[in-house]
Amino acid sequence: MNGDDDIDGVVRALLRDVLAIPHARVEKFTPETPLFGAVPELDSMAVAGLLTEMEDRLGFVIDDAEVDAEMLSTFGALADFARSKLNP
Amino acid sequence: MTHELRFGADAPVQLIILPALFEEANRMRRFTAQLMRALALRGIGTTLPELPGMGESPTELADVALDDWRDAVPQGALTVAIRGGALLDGAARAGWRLSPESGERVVRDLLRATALSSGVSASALDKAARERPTALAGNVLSPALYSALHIASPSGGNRRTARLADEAGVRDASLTGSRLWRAAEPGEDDALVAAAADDIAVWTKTCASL
Repeated sequence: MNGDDDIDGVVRALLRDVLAIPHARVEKFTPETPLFGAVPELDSMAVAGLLTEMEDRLGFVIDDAEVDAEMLSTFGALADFARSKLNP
Repeated sequence: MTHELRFGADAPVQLIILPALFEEANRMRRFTAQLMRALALRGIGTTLPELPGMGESPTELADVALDDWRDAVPQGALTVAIRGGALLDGAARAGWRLSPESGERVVRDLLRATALSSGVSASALDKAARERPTALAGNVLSPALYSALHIASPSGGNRRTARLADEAGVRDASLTGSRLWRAAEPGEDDALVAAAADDIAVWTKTCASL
């Protein structure tokens, strides 16, 4: 398993644990799967919580300027964002 | 007339429950009530005060200061705080906390949620909130409350902190359970209620000597 899969796995686990999205559904997410705006569990308060949890689990701080609808638009965008924070 | 919730009024041990703040209060309402019932079954009485400006309180939140919430705790009381409620337990002689948060984090969640849903940047919202009453995630906070929250952190000795097993952070106890406070829809976690009630029950015995 390469590093990319690890981060995908962490982001899937975040979505599952923090937003209570069923495991089976999260496992089917592809990079193109839409998130914010498309997933009912992902309202703006839930997203705020997701970002805080991501900070805690992956050990980085997300600057307010980095938070926009773009990085939350798809599963791939969110995972790429996490990767970019871990490999600046 | 207040809209406080009480269970086990005749019990020899009485605790003040400090609820999660803002939207988390809604998400934790069922858990909190279940916890209070579970504690009553363990011979522990609880009171959940109505915080001014929250729930059905007739006070406008915009008129509320952080100390108005802290005043809900009589000096020397025993408290059980849920999430951001831990910011209010300073006057307690001993306190139990579930997954406490700093005020900075509470504020950050509000700012981020509002920025995402409104398109206004978090920094613009922060600036506005420091100058005038500002709606954040549906709650209108006064500059005084906003600023006080921003610098508040859980404090006080004789505090026992419980966190979920997979949460980060310093803790005295790990409980198995789900992040009910993050879920978009209110949920239930009977096992977490029982685990929390058991830990609190053991803890209250240690408070007897304080």
